[in-house]
Amino acid sequence: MTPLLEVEGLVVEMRRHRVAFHAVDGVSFALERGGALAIVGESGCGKSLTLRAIMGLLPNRGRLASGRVIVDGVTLRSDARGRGRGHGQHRRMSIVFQDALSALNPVATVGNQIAEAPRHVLGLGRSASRARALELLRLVGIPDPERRYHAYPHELSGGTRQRVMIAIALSSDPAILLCDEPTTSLDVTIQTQILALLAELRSERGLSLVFVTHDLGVVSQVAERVAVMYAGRFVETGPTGAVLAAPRHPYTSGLLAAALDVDNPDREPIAIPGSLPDPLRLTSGCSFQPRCQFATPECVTTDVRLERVGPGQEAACLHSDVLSAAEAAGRHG
Amino acid sequence: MADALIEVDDLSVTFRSEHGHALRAVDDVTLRIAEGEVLGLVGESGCGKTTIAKCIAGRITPTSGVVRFDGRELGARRATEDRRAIQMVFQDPYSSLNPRMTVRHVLSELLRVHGLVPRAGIEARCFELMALVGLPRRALDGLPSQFSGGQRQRIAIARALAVEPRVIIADEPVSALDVSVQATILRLFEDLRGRLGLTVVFISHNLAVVRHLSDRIAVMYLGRIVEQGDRESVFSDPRHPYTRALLAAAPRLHQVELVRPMVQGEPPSPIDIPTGCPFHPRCPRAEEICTRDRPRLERVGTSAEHFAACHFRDETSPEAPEEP
Repeated sequence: MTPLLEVEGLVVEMRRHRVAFHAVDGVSFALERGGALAIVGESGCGKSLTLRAIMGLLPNRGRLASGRVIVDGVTLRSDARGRGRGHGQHRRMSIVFQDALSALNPVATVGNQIAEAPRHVLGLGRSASRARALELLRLVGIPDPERRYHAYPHELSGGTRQRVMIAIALSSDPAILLCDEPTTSLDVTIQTQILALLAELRSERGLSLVFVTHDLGVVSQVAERVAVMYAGRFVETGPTGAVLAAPRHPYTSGLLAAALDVDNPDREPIAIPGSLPDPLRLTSGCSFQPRCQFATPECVTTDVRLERVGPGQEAACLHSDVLSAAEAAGRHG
Repeated sequence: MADALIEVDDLSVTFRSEHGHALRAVDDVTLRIAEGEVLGLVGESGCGKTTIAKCIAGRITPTSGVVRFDGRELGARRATEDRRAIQMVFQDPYSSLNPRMTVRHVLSELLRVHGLVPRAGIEARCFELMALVGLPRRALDGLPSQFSGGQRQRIAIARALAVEPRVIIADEPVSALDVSVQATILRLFEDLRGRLGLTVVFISHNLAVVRHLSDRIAVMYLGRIVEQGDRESVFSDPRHPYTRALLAAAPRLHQVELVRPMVQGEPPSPIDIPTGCPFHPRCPRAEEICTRDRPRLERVGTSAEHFAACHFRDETSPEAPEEP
């Protein structure tokens, strides 16, 4: 069976001070029907741009330099911006952004915003699309939908606005939901509610998810597969449990060591030395190498690629074996 | 606590909205902060934690209640010395630094205006401050835009330290930083407290951060402290249902199963605070009494310093504490 979504060799070129660089540099993955992939990484790693490139919503400074997006076996046509995908397969995907307040139209009621796609994309009549919007408001767990239908975005709380965003995303009946840090600006008690809603949508409607986040703590709750992104590339992918329990790329293990554990307050978090490389000055070899404790001269000269390191797990590191040995020693020592 | 450095008594802050509604941001809060301790103030957005911080720092005048520092009441107009003693560090090091001033300019101006070191000693003191926050000397000649988020936060901390404060109030100082650099800033706070004997009020929505750094914790909800105590009591034996919900919802790396939301809905508007216990509309434990009587902070558990404001505070956690 063909995967629902295939992304092949996605390269996004961005410009800064008239210099072009690859902000996303050869990202590939496949998403099964009903599956979920979390893309995790720090600010500037290219995770949101990856999502925007898939959706065809690159900013003006960005250009899809190469790569293909295939939905259900059909390659999406688009111009270099990734635009021009208003028809056909493109409708199978929707996107949810982090900041619902700026993504929503401030001068239209939320009901009308949700009813827009049913009316103009799915071609339903006025009352049918209104009924559909009410049904969606109910589906995303907004109490009293008849009253909320007429509310404006600013009248709603952050959590409710994010539910409205999800309702709008679902209104064109997509198969794939692309989520760009949808819970980052929400409080934790609201975050658990939104994550529960997404899980429900997956199990009840068979929705597939690509979930971008900087928070390793939510990854295992939303997706069974994870891709760790650094400087525009996937450096490790695999089953979420395996990657978090036994990371094989030094960046993944560094992120885990830097994270705090609410249940284990006395474990000292260890920061990753150095800082993100300047994307304008990326050199050959591994881009994490300047910050890596396992780096050898080979890492500077060899172009690393994702290689299989375990069942379904891949890492782009020449020394992934050293890491697994070190982890094992650390655990038993 | 015998020797509290900061005493906050019956503090309330009411703002007027543009429609004339009264918004109770802080509602009758009493708090003690001992010299040299780290108090973690947790709660979700809008719970009033920043407002309390600003009252302590003298940036907001409370509607009622008093703030005492070292036994003296601090009024609305504070002596320079009192203002200097309590410094704030903010979440966003991008907007809290003047983009046109070099680090040297910022620091030496402060040192000169406050006359803390003789003119000839300013340069040396700048070097000292850089060393204290772990930045190289050459950073003094940089503009804020030339630094990363973590470095900027170090600069903001150096600026706070320049006036030799006794208390630092840090308002979400690591929330805007990437995970890989958060650890370095947290360590800096630990280090400064050890070396300078600083008292720290650490405000965060992130329970893991607060648990890691604090000696004592105060949990806020809708302008009130609903639970407070030493770190271990609050985290291993939480007595307020809101504290339990926050703990359950905290992101965990190896959380395999989806967390079932313990509380439904969202916090009500602080313009229209519910009667009785303000948490009752969302509380899984609420009974009729909770809609009528507002629970006061009362002692719970075995620790002398553990308080919770809940009618059912003597019930221990319904779920067995999680084993890692």
